[in-house]
Amino acid sequence: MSRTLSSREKTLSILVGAVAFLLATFFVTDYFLKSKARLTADLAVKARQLKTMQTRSAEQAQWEQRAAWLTEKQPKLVSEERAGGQLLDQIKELAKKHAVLLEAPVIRQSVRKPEYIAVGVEIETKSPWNALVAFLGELQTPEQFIVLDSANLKIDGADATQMRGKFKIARWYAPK
Amino acid sequence: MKKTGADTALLTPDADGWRLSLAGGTARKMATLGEAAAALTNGTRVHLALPCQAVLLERMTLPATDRDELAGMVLLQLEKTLPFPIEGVSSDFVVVATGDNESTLVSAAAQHTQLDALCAPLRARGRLPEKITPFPMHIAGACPADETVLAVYPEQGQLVVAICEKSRLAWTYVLPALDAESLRSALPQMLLGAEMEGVPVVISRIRLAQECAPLADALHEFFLLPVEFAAFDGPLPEPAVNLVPASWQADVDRGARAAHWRQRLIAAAVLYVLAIVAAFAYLAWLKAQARKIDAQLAAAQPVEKFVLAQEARWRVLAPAIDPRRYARELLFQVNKNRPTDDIHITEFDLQPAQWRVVGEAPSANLAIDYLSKLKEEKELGAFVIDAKPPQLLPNEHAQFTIYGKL
Repeated sequence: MSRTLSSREKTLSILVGAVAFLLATFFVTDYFLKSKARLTADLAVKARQLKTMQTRSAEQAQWEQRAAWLTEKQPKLVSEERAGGQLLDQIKELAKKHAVLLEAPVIRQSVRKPEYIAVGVEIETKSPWNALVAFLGELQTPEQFIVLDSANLKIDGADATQMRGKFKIARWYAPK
Repeated sequence: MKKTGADTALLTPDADGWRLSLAGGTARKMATLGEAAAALTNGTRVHLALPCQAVLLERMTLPATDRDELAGMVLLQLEKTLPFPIEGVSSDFVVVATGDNESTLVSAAAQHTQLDALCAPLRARGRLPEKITPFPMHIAGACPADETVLAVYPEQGQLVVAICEKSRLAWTYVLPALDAESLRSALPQMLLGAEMEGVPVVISRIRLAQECAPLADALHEFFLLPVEFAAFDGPLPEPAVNLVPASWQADVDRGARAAHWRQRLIAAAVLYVLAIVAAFAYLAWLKAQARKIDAQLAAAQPVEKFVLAQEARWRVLAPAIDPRRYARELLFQVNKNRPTDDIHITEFDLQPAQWRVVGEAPSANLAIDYLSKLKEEKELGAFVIDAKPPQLLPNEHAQFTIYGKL
């Protein structure tokens, strides 16, 4: 059975209602503000990611060209056993052309990486500075795929006009 | 006297119960006031016409003509005659006739407790009357202004005989029976009593309610006047009296204020809910935006993967295909950026991710200048160039070692 609330009961019920309303409002507002902050930050991060991706997408054609160029130009390894000798022959020929004295040539073990197979040699040289620079200039061109794994050049202690060099040279073949 | 407003409901006593007259002239019979209260719509103002048994009507002749003075005198008079305290009574009056120094009036008084009990069903539904009037005064208002009219009508099982003078109620008598015989036997004593109170008893017109048609002969025989049949359930003029207790007015005001606040609270609640809905709609929109970007990211993922893979491949193969990483190019830059030809490079060392230059400069300052030039060289921009402090040699030259790291 329902009865009319007394003034005290009304005041109490209003008070309880007001507290419940304020609590509910607090929780709803808190939830909204936190969600908004989280979503806004998330949105900003994703927008940045999208912008970066769009920039990359714009470069797709360029990278496709580069990939095609690499596929076309990177040398294919026909014989792993002979490749080291072929590289050494090429270096010897160049050294002869530029009057660079070649010493202690060694064929190195080939190295396999996901992007290439390196077939290398070690050599030591003795030559004037200009000859050495010309030799190196002709040795390394983009389509040769020849890399100097290490190079050490010093003025010859016995003859200051000569440079002594120690090189580890490799050709990077396309991976199989 | 004014007519009932269009949005006002008039509750009047009926022959058996109550009659509810709504705006537009429609009237419905109701057994109780509770039933009538239930039939009222929101916002309708209620006027209640009291039956004779609920109101004390008294004719007075007082030595004043000013209404305020008369009001005071009426209160004093009622204080003397009423058997209960005047504070518990609502009263008002209608001036029937005014002389040079005196006025004849009819006062109406209703006890608050009786009004409270009568109007409890209306109060329960928050429909407290704005105006309370004696019903005979409505009847009198409908009578011709230049005649003395005898009005006879039934009221909740009783018979009311009212003398109306100049469209104003002059006197009433309630007969607890509706038959002609009772009326015939009561009339002489009734008129004698009226005459003794100074009420004009020379009746010029008789109006009889249609429901009381069997009484027509008795009235005609007694007064030797034709009897007019009248319908007292139609729209009637309202008298200029109001018996609503002052405390009720406060209740009505409080109710109006509460209704006003209720409306404001409802509006605020609606706005609050709308704000919450808008806030959550905004969150939903943000989520939708995030999902949209997710879809775009997913769509661009293959291209992104391809480009990143190619970038990584290009970076790995850079020592073989990027001329800026070639030994000759590095030697050229190292040589070109010497501030003077007096700087001699004695050693150049190249490793996959770094290079090192060792040399001699005529002074430490020149060695530092050389380092600065190498750092500023755009073609060496891919390297982080640093150096140990130059070491001074016995010949006052400075030996330097400069590093370039990817």
